[in-house]
Amino acid sequence: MQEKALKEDFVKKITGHELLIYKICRLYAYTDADRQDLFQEIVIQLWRAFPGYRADAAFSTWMYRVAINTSISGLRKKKIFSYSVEPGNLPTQISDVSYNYENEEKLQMLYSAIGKLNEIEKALVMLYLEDRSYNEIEEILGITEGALRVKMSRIKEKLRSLTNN
Amino acid sequence: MELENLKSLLNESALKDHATKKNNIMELIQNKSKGPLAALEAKLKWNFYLFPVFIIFIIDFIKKPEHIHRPSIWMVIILLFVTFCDFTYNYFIVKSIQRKDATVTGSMLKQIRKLEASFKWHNNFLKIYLVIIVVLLEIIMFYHIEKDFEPWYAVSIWIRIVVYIPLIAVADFFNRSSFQKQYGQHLANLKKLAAQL
Repeated sequence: MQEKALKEDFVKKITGHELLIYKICRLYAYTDADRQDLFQEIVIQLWRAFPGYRADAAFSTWMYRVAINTSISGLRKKKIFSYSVEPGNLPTQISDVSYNYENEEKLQMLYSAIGKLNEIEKALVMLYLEDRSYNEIEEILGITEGALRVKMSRIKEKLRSLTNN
Repeated sequence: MELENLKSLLNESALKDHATKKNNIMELIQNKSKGPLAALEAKLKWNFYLFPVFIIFIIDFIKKPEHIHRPSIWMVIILLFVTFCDFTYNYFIVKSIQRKDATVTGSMLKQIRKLEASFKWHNNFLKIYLVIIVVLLEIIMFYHIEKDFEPWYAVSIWIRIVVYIPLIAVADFFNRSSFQKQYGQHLANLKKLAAQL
């Protein structure tokens, strides 16, 4: 395929799944600048991997793999993508996106609790929030369905205890 | 507050980002990766431009009759070639570990395996490489092939050995430090992540 046609095909496919990248950026980067950098890095890595994309996996599954791998295990500058959440890095824009002000404090607490999860747990939470089936999560993370269920129930408990404390 | 409550929040925040950021995908893919691994790949790529320059320089050098029969020149050529192979090997290692389309677990474990194997190989290779240089140097001196090395040959063999051993140890130390600097943080992070699986 010609480079131009390949680019157009890539842009068309990515444009339909852009929200997915924004969501990953929300969970893995905590400032606007970091999210912008991560967004760009994910798109670049997707583009680099695109010639190797085979339609044997759903495009979204393939995208999740590249995006999560980029977010959690790419060699990164700590400055850009923090491995752990510092208090100052917590999202401050909750009020912009939540219209239920009564729940705002609790939501912020939940967001902050997710920030305290490890990178793999965050990926699992992200896919869970996206309503992905355990089968698909297994295809993305490479963790067996049984182990995923156990992990997910532990994560829920962990989040509950983090938000209740 | 349950996890389910975050579903709508995450969707809304992503929609908000999508509406406000207006990223141009076509423009973004013109940029280069900012990751240090990409920077390392670019650095190693220079090897492919520099090696032909060295070859031209060496060919020009050995065209002179007084140089063509000097074993030390051939030794340098062989060592340069081996160095080129080593850089090329590293380049492909760095390139292959940048692939991000495998499963998260698979990609992580593959990177750990490759980096550790690469370090082991590189470390053994360097030691053998240095021992070969010393042996070749001793052979050249033993047969008095080149006069330039005569003063060094005049020094006692025991002193020469005492000099060679720390030199190899220092090279080994720098090799380990260089690996640590280039991949150490990344490998430690990958191992930390693998432990979370």
